[in-house]
Amino acid sequence: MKKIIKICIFLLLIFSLCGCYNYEEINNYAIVSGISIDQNEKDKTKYDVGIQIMNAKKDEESDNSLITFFKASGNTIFEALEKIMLDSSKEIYLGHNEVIVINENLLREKDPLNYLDFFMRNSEVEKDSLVIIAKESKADDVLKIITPLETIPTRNLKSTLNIADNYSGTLTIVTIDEFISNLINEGKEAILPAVKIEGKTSTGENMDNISESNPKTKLRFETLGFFENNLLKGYLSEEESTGYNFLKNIPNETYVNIKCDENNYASIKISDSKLEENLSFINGKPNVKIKSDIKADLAEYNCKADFTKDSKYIKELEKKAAKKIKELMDTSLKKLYVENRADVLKYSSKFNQKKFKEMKEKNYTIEKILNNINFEVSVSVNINSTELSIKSIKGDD
Amino acid sequence: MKKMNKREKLISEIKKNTNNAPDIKFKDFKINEETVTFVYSMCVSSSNGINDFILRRIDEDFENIKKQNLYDYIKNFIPNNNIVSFDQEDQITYFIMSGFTVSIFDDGKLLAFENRAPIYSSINKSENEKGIKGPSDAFSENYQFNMGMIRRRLKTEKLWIEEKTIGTESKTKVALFYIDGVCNNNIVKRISEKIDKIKIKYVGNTNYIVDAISNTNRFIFPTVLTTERPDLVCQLLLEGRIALMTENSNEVIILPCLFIDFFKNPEDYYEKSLNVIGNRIIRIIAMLLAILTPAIYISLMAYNQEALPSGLLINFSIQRDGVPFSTVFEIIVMSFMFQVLRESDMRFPGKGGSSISIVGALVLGQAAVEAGIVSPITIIIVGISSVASLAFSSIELINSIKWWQLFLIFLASFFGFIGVLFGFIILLALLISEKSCGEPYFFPFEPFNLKAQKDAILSENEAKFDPQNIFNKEDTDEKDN
Repeated sequence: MKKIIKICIFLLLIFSLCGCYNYEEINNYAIVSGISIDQNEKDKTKYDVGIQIMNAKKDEESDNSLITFFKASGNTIFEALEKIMLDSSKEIYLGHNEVIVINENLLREKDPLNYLDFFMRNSEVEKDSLVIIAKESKADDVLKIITPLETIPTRNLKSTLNIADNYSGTLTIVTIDEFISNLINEGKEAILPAVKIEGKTSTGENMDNISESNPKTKLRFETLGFFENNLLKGYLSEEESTGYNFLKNIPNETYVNIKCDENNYASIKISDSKLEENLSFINGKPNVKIKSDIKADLAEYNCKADFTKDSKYIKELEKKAAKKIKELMDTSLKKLYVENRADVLKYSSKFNQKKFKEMKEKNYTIEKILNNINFEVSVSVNINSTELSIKSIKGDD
Repeated sequence: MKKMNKREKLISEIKKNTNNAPDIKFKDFKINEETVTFVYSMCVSSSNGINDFILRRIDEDFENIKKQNLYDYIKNFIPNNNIVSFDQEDQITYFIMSGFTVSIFDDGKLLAFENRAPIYSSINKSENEKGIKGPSDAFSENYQFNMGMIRRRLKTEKLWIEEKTIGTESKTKVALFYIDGVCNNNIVKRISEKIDKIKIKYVGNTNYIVDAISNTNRFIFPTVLTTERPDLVCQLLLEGRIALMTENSNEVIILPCLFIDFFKNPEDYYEKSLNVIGNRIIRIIAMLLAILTPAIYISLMAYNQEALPSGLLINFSIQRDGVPFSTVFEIIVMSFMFQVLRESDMRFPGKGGSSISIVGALVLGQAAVEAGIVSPITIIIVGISSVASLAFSSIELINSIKWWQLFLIFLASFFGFIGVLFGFIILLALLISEKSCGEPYFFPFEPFNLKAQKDAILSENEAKFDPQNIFNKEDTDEKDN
């Protein structure tokens, strides 16, 4: 009898933990790969929500899946998704969502915290979804473009971002939970990568677009968009984005070009970097000392030199590279902290955490720190290897 | 009527008991007023032996016999390697049926000479436990040969054999082999007591005895190791195990048996240790694959889609599109069809087997997928789990894997991953709590024993050269089998 009671309790526990109610065959789901959010043009309180479904139908020739796009509008994101469900005939599954594209104008005009609640509240939504700004176009257009290489456009967006994040150093990946936590916290501002449609949207929607060797319509990542007071303020230029990545200490595999003689350039590839930030108050003003220690490899050298004979070439290169990187960092800091007040590097919140006492003594608020902050940047570069050649193919001087 | 002497009485009794069996012959010899009757069965004893060594001998030496006592002459001068003198009258038929020639004297004295006919298959290559390296002789149905195969390999006087006869009708001999000083005597005592208690009519195979002495209903995995390879038996005898051999059976049973024994192969001891470790790990993975793949597949398809990588999810989703049945149904039907295929392949006589496999592969595989009845991934999953389950030579193990597979499929179809986890925990708990002849079944791992690890997943030369009794010698819990 005791045994039976034990088994009953066990089964009850199991049923309550997870049960048949959750049973849903995989092919009854419409698997959402991307969500777009736009502002409704007629009714400003409504949002246009578009979803891209990645298992819509089977390509008879190649067995690849083809995408479909659905769109609906509602006062909340949830309402819009429910409306889509009426059209789609299958249950929408958000567990594998990869990208959330938000319209540029919506981000400029409305605090994202007004409409992103759903993504944190729903247990099904993938919290690793990437957030992207749709620059100069509607967000849903981005999801409609069929791309080469990857037949599912959002996967293409995701892998491009990943590659760019790892190798080019001009972009950065932001997931939905990072984005929201940056928006919520005082002393932090958000930064997002922006994507732009090159060419006409109407040609990009057509399958013929990718049958050409050079598609007429493409998706192209433009730099980074930064926020101020939870609203999109502006975009960083390519150089400023590189500077931002150096300041965030994620410049791995990034390259820097250096002029080595009048007409020719050399490129170095960053292999390792260390960043030290020293926060202090100097003359009663908040001061950030940034010391960056960078290790790099010589990737290309188009001037005359023989590195085995004299170490001056390398020394000179290192000096120039350090100067260049310092410039990049300075322009980026200038754009973010002097021209704007976009604290995307979270210095004011770092002051709040580490120098809380001194802040109180000197009557500084987070806002006041941001207005008075000063930077001192020093960079040292160390070129470790010249890779395969020990001299330039043009020979010595 | 002339009064019957004891011999005549016995003869008439045999005739009555056997209802004048046609194969039982009586041959009288009358010498010096005394008569001796040779009784034998034509079908189990060799006629050459009887003709050449008993009948001709007496015929040729007739004059000589007259001078002596008949009983003494027959006992001492008939050339035979196995003469048994006995006086239990009810044993006569037993001796006759087991191929002896029984001589009955006037005063009721009894002598039996062994003249068995070779009605056994010869020593064959091992069919069920194939190996590439090492000796490939296997036990046959001949009890004497089987004993010889072990004796030949272990010439020590410490190899003790305890023989018993069980079966009220079959009167089958059962022998317990163990090495004195290595084996735990308590286990021998316990098993021999259990064998004494067996009430059985007919012993068809060694498994009859196992089923009679152990209860294997609670736990599906086999708790005894059945083998037909004498080299494995010798290896295990030196580890302190007991081998149980039955007359007319080509299988020997090893007790106590550990779960890890099913992952070992006699071949392991003839190869380099490093290769063996690889093979054993592959066998363990095969076991896990066989039990878990269908269950995990079902939980991934029906409950825990978030655990799949996106790329795979799209593929699965598109492949399944248009299949009208649920994943659970598909898996169960395909597994069932595979089992039917295996069964018919095994039973089909001669060369027909290959045609069944072709039909199976085409109809159940390709055609079913093209007709949209099952999704291709289901075929892959059923294929993986079925092939993995066939990596073992023990048919009992393969059958038990089948049950556990089904149990986990059942749990997965109701509770998803949680169910699979729950089922696997039950499996582990049962494995750990199970005992074989009072010895823990999951032994070198639970309870953990560092010394015994040398021949568990690892295989070290030390274990090969100097096998030790891996069980503790103290008396163990007696209540479990």
